[in-house]
Amino acid sequence: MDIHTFLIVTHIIGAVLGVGGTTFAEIFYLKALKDGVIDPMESDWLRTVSAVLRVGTVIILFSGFALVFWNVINGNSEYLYNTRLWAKLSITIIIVVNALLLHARAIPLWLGFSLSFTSWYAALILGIWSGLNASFVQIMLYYVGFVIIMGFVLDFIKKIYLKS
Amino acid sequence: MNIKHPKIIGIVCGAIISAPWILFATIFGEINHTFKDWLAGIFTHHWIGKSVILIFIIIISGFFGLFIKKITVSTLTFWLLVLFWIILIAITAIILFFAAHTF
Amino acid sequence: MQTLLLTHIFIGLCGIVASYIVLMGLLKKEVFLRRVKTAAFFAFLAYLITWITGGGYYLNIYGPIIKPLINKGEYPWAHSFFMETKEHIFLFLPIISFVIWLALISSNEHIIKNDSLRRSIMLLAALSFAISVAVALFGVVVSGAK
Repeated sequence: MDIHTFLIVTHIIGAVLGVGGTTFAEIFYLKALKDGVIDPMESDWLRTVSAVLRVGTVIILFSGFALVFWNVINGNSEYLYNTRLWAKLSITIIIVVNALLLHARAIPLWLGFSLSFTSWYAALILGIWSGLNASFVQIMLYYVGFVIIMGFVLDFIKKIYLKS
Repeated sequence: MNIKHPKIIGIVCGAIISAPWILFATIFGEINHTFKDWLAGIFTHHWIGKSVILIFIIIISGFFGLFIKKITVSTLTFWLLVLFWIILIAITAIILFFAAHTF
Repeated sequence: MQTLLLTHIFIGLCGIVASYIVLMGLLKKEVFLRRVKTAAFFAFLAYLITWITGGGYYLNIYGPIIKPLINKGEYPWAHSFFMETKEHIFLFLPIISFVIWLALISSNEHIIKNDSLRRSIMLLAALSFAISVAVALFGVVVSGAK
């Protein structure tokens, strides 16, 4: 396995942990809300999932920058001006800042989880969609639209689940 | 309520003084190349010069801090906030300066 | 020289993560002081190493070889704005991180009891995190310009 493949694999593992972590954070949060109270065990599950998310983020960060470095030393500097890359970097910053705001209780839990959920999936899609030919602004506008739509979808799922 | 190691106030004040130094050295160095060349002449590169003088300011200020016997929590809080605002202003000024200089 | 750049990037990222841990640690209701102090120390150490390796790379490779290429190329603003801003705002990072670490080791339990003190250190931690992220992103812009 060459270095580039190793870095891609590592980056994907980070994405798997992040996307998986955020998916289960949303599921556990919904389950915890069922009785209206987040008890100690539920809180522990959410903390565990949070830790997995953080590990995923760190792996993504280091492997991502390693890929940037790999591209630079292999004469592929123009990759660094790729709009998908910058959209992913921006969304990664949103994920990280969102986590801080959640911890500071500066945003409501439902918004923080939805933003995290949508952002991780958006970053995943952007990572896979190599043929995407759009400007940074276009991609971010679609991302904002995706966040709003997913906000409604998750709210709908929450209402159905809590009523059942 | 007093802080365990009051002498750190010297470092905090040194940091506060160093912010205007970095701002001045950055902007004045771009406007007046003689100053930039002078720094480069002494320290081989202007950026090294800025870094060395910055460290010198912190060391000297830290030395004076050794004479402080006690400070309260509220005094430390105040100076930390001053540091925050001064650095924020300095960074904003540097960003705006280079933006104006370039674009 | 590539080792110098790789060290600069890797240690810089460690600094960003350490700054994040400090900020996150101070935001929590229950502050784990030991963890936050350790992270603050590692952030300071990381920025010191990044300072030296970045300076070394700048003087030996970037300045003489890459900068002229960027200035002659399609994206001269990558140097005149992004690199110039990066190399100057970075200088605040080791200072802020040093102050944060010293403030944490001097304040001990006062941080837990005194909200104003905690908030002031938190603001500095947030500033340090923001600067470190900006500096990293500016580095990506500069690296892509040659």
